[in-house]
Amino acid sequence: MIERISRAYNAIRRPDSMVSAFCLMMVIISAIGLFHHYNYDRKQLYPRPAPQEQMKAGDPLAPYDRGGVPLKHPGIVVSQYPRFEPVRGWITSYLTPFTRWLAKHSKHCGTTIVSHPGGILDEILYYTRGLDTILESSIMFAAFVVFSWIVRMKTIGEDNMERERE
Amino acid sequence: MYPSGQILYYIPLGDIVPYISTINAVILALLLAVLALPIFSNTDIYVEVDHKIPRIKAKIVMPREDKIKAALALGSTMAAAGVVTTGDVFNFTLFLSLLGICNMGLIGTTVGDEFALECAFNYGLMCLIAGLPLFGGAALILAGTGTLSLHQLMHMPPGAGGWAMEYGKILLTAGVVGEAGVGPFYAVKVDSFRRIWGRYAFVIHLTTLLTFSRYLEILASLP
Amino acid sequence: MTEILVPKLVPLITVHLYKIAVAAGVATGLIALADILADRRPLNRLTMTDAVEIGALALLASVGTDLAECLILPGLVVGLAELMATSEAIIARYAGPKRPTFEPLDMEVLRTAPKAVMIGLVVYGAILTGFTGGAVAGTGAAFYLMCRYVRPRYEDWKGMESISGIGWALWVVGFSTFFLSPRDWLLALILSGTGGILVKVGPKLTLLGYAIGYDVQVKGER
Repeated sequence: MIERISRAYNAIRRPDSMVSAFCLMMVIISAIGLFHHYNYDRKQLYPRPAPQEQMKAGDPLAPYDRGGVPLKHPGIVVSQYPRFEPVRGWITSYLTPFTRWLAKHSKHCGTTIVSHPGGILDEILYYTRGLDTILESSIMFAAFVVFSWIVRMKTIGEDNMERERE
Repeated sequence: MYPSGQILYYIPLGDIVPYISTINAVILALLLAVLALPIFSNTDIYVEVDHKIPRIKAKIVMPREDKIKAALALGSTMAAAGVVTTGDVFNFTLFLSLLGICNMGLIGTTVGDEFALECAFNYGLMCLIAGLPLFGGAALILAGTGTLSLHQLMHMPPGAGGWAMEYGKILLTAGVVGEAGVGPFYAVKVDSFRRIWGRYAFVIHLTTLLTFSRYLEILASLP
Repeated sequence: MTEILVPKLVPLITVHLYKIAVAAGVATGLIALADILADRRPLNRLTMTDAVEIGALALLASVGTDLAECLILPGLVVGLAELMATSEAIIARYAGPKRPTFEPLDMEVLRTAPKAVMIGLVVYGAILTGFTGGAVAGTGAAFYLMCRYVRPRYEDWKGMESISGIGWALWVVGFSTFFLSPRDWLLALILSGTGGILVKVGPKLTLLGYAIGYDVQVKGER
């Protein structure tokens, strides 16, 4: 028995066999998951209206309008812990002066509102779930450190780098 | 009542509320003790003994290599500390991803070892593939119960969320197994971790193991 | 009126689409994983992991709320960052210091057109700010520099890493301002926005500096 176990361990000892074994496990798990009914709780955080609903109503900030007046009234935000978020909703309603001008003169600025300061996505990304976004850029930095080290030390080599500098 | 014992302290950061409970505090103290060990030990010649063919390999680590490994080991430990204290399922998966990329960097930055690069490549592939079960599991938990916060999930009755919750738990377990290295996969990860050639091999071993012990606590608190 | 802005319950059409989206995500993952299992070539495995990531993004998107839209962004960036580091490991393993050589394209249009494209993209990106703006402006600058016949060396790019580091620090300052003094939320928002644009532009330009200087050897005059 122990001999068989050790033979199995030796079979997945090589690094690329590790990936194969993990993929085999994942294939089995996802095959189980294909034929099931997944239930959905309709009481979600940060809900959004049905697709195209605001567009048909003629809203200039179409898919991302969550109410509020910039710097006057906060927007509507359904978050997890309202008691920990004293300025909840203000970022949602905020628009830069340029965006305000654009919203007044155009009916199609809604899709670019996500990338201006202000709007529901900025509220979630910067404020209510800000730690996620900071972590995300930290992961990018860690990957970049590894990347540049490998480029400088392995792909190029230290010697070639010195030669290039001269 | 939390399955992890009394909550001693929590930090409200909007929707994400990290907390320290009795069990968390023990794991966190262990983790910081682990980080202290390589800081106070500063040997720079590493010896590997091969028992089959009696021979000894020795390697002197350059200061530059040691420096980047120290930085990555620090990142890895910080990520593990985040994993231990976090109070949100999606945040947990992100901390795990940070842990995975730091560990992959620790293996891949070894100079003068061709096999280390192959190990790093396969470890990176594992981390990338484990992204599917981790994020997928978090998404299914969100869809099934309508929340991601562990404080809310703890108070739900058993059976809440139905199949989406069950499958989410299965996927999360698979993701943690892939990213942190437990079960049968640990057999090969030991081989990969040894390619670090140095004191930081210790960090990577214990961060992955403590991560899994923290995951067991999360699994107990999900409905 | 509030019902059209933020509904109390998730609309039914989203619930119907959720079932299809979960099936699609799991199926995408299944196909890609089976391919990785079947084929042992490293390059094939690397490309198929990208398909696996798409399955993860489909699962995240299936929830269909504003929260899901925000969770996609970290998921996407994590996948891309890990892919970058992993692909460099395989390049170093199999290519090594032998770099492929090529002759650079020398066309009239590559000298004249990029200026206009660059100015347009950078100005638009600066107006957008935040993540998307950073991506747009970084693409514009990268495109301009890639099209130049006389290419800059790595030494000219040395400060670029620190730009994204400063951006990251601004961002953390903005994030802590939100919780330490909530009344200054506007300042924190602007700090986060500028931090976001710098975080995106910096790595892109640094990456280009590395790639142009070293990954390929330009035949003839540089």
